[in-house]
Amino acid sequence: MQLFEKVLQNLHSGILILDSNLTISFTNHWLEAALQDKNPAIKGYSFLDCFPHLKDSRLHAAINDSLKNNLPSFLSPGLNRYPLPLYQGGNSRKPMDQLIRVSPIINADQTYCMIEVSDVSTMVQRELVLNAMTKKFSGLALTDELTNVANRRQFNIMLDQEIHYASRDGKPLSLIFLDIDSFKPYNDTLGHQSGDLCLIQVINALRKRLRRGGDQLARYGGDEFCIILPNTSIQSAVDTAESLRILIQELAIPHPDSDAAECVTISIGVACWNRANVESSSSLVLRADSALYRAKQAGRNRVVGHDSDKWIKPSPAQE
Amino acid sequence: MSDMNALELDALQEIFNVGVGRAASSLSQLTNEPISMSVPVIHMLSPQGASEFLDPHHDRILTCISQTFSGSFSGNALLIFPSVNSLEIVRLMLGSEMPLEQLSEVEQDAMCEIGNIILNACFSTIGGMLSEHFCCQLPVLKAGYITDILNQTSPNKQVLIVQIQMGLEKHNIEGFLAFLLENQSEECLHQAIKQFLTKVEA
Repeated sequence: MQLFEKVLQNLHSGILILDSNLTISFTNHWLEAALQDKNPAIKGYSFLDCFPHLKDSRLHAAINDSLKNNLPSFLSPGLNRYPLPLYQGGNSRKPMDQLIRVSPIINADQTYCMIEVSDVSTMVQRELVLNAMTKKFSGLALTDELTNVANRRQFNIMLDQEIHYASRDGKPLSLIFLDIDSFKPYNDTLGHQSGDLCLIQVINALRKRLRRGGDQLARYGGDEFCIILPNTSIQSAVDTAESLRILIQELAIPHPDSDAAECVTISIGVACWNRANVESSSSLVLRADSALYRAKQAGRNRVVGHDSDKWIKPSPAQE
Repeated sequence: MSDMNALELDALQEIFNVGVGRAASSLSQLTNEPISMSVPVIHMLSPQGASEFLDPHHDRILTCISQTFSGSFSGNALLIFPSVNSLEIVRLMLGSEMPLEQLSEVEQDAMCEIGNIILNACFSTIGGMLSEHFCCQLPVLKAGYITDILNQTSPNKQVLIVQIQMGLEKHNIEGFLAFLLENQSEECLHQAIKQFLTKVEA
């Protein structure tokens, strides 16, 4: 008996044993050390008097389950933040993440409850770090480095998701494709650094205007950007596009070599998802892109929409 | 085992209904979120039938929390979720947004605890209502195909399957309890239910 008690005293995890009246009948050295400011002499006292905040807690329920129903319980650190007031080693005041097992023990017709505590602080900490890193990397993998908007990979994910919602909720969905007029000559004349700055200025202006929740801006590639407009019909999307076209023109960023104007302008193509055909995302992208091509062919710095085999212009009030 | 009649199966369903109801309230208390459990549906199946019922194509990875028990009845109680569902449950309960496709260590422990709460609630209800005693072991978590999970069953035994639906933040997540009973335990359970019904009638 003495040997077993010594073994328990030397364990590198905590042991606390309660009798059926919730009186503490044993604590080992490890547990006493981890309690720090509690008087280590809690043996002989009622568990709930020593830890009044644990009344009706999950741990209390687990203890009752073991004493009354003979059932063991497992308390995880994720669902139970610091159940016992235990601290990590030395004099650190860092609370300890705990994994607790509560088991019934029957000895000489008496039921006891054994609470076994492991310190899992390192594991919990390591997982927090891993979690933060994974989030950061998956964010990086989906964001365009220059403009900080979604990249093409994320755009594809978002578009599929929005098509799913549109078909589920029976709402319209529109897609805008836009690019900067004569961007290659701009780069060739002013240099790539100025080209990058121009992209950032245009994107920031668009982003400010698109404050409406749900509208999602992404860089498709080069100087081509797209905007997903959930719950938006074709005419309203074309009119939004027209307001964006005016917005960029009004930024009045000088363009020394454009066919369209003396400042930086954009051309825009718009398409609305075809519900009747259960249109695929790639077909919707293709239609928005060909509307953009048509806007360029027609002289740039303008908006063209495509819906039900028709080309659509902005409402007169917007022009 | 002598087949249970409709009344006896109803009684068993009611016992599990009380059990999962208790589990739902413990889980709500623990997470501070409303959690509901729908009335469970009970099936008695052969091991072959059970594995086909739980995963018809035998190609899904399942998460399983099991506790062995012994006493008036002996065997193994399992709580089984398709792994995608277990990810959903744990992340909703922990409020985490892990972008990983597998349960992390903290999440595995949390899943183990969720299983332990549901299984214990069923054990204590069965014990209380049928006035039977048993002791059981701490939960063990594993993941695998249905054949790996049900492999301990001898082919002529019946498996008691309890279908449950857990309601969590507008999500309805389906899971299953499976009780694999040993030797005379099926008969003992049947007898206990008969006695329970006689008491209720009296």
